Amino acid sequence: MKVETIYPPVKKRSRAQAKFRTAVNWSFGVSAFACTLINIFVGGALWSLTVDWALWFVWSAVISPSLVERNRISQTSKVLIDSCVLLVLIDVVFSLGWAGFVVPIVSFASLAAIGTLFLSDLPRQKQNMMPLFWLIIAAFIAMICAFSGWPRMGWPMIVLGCTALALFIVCIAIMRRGLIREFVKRFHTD
Amino acid sequence: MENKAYKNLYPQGLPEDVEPLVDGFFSELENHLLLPKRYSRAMMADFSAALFYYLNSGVPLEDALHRLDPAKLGGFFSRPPMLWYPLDSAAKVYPLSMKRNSMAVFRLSAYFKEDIVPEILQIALTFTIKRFPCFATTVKNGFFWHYLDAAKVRYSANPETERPCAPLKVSASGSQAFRVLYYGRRLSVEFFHILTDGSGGMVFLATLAAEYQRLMGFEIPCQWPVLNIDEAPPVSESANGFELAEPSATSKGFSDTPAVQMTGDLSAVKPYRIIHFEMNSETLRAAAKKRGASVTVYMLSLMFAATGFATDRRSGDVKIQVPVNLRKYYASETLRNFSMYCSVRLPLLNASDIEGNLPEIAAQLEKKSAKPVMNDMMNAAVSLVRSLRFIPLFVKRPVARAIYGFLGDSVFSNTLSNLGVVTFPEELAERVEKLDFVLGTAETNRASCAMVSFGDTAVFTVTKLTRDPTFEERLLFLMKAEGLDPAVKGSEPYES
Repeated sequence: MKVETIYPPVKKRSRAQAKFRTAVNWSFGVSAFACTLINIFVGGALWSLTVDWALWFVWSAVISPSLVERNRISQTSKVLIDSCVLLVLIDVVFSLGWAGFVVPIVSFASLAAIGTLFLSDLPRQKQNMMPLFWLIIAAFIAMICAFSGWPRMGWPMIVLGCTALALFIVCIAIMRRGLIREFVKRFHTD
Repeated sequence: MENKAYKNLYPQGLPEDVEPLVDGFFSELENHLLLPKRYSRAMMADFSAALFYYLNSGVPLEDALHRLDPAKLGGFFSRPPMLWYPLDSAAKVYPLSMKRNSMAVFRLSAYFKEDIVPEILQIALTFTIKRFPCFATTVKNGFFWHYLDAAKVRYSANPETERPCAPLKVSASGSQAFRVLYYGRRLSVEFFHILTDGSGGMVFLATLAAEYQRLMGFEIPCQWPVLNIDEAPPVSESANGFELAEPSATSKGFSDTPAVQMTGDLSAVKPYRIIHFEMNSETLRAAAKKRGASVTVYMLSLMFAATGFATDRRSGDVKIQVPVNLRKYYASETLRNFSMYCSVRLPLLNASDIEGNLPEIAAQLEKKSAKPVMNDMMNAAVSLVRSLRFIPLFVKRPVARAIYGFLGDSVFSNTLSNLGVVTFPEELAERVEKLDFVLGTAETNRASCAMVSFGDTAVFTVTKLTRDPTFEERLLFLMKAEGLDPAVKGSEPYES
């Protein structure tokens, strides 16, 4: 059938690209499955948990990042949460005992970085501040838990609490009623 | 004033008598652009470029400044983004089911009688977008549902460089959920279905086309579907039309048995190819009338025959999905999604009988697209949304993504979305040669078809998802046999 071309030439894509993506997805999936199986058969510490989480971390950040709302705050928050979970897993699986000290340090440093990202581009980032707010709430919860004995209260936890409180005050001062509007948007059910 | 690009409008510098006029214009413009610097700079540059084009085309400065009057921006770009919109009941599935290489996108195009001037199109878009606040948005994650959040950015018109209906990148802050493209004489708008349906999209295209022609110096009145861009957008235009569903005892479900699919490997690049069959609308109407059928029924009959020819299956039902515009049943001004669909089905064994199938297709179409059936379906959509409303998005998303691809379109063999006869105000119609309508690809259907008639040209478009050319070749054969004698235009294959 003769077709008169009325569209601009576009670089043809080969199936190779799609095949490569599929291969990467499969290799991640198979690796995760194989690690879990080997770990079950070999026994010992549940090291496959850390490997699986690390694979998920890389896959969701690099191979298949989110299709909606991928901005500097949401991505940094995601990296922070995934890193903290990975650190906790390594600590628990290998019984190292440093997570209660290290995770708050990583968290307050990241929180400060996210706060800087938020404040450095306020007009646009006001609409993206929700992940930051969730991290602040998570930091408060960690603080309350530390007060009740676990994880242990130390200077990293105190700095984390102070950083979160400072950012909380800054967020409320900047957003005011906008914060309520953000909540209404984020939690609408209709 | 931070942007002095306009100082270069005149090669020898601004003449003394002109300087105050131009300075005044740009300082007025600056007052209307309270955006982040990179956007306001880009928009100032847009206006400079448009002014430069006018002056080079011999348009007097006063006239040019009048056409580009910053007052036309209203307060849209000088107010912070406050508005947000929950998705309508039909749109909720689109962000849940989208994938990296697959997104519900459709495209409407108008072919002008002369080449498009990009500088003027950009300004037309800048002026037009304020009238469509629910399009001036970006997709966001809520805890339970996605929503549209107002985005005050520079909305850009770009040259066409990608394949039609390619997925939109909606993840970045302020990213558009539609794109405005130009190529030669063609102005195209591609919409993520989350924003609107074909009817709403056509209103946007018409309004944008009218504003472009006004900026080119033609008087175009504001008659439907051209909206007055200086009017405040009424709330009714962004309403969820599905709330108009009347209570009914029954509510039709969405599940169905699998349909016969055309044979042919699915292409990895979506779409594989676009093919337009252009015909004289009067000839088409006469051919349908000769058979005692409407144009939609007639085209469906040809599609059934071509679909049946393009499969190796020997049994089963061929089912064609036909979207139904609900605005004809409900008094709604909404520009958002307000359509449902019905499914016309024929046994594969009978699919090739064009003449004999017409009464059956007509009867099914009339019965299945009747208001009570659509009302039941609307109720089903509304109650589905209601039943899922407290399930967090992170739970809904993977489930919807898995189900939608396999169940969503495997119950259909093909789609025919017919926008019908579109009319523009006479002054605009004179400037437009034809329209076309392109559907994005489905997941498993090897072809999706769309149709629109404008003036004396009807354009039937096939969006292909397979290299196998049997469907379109058979369709062409049938059209020629029916005396329609279409001109075949389209794209090169997009997959090597």
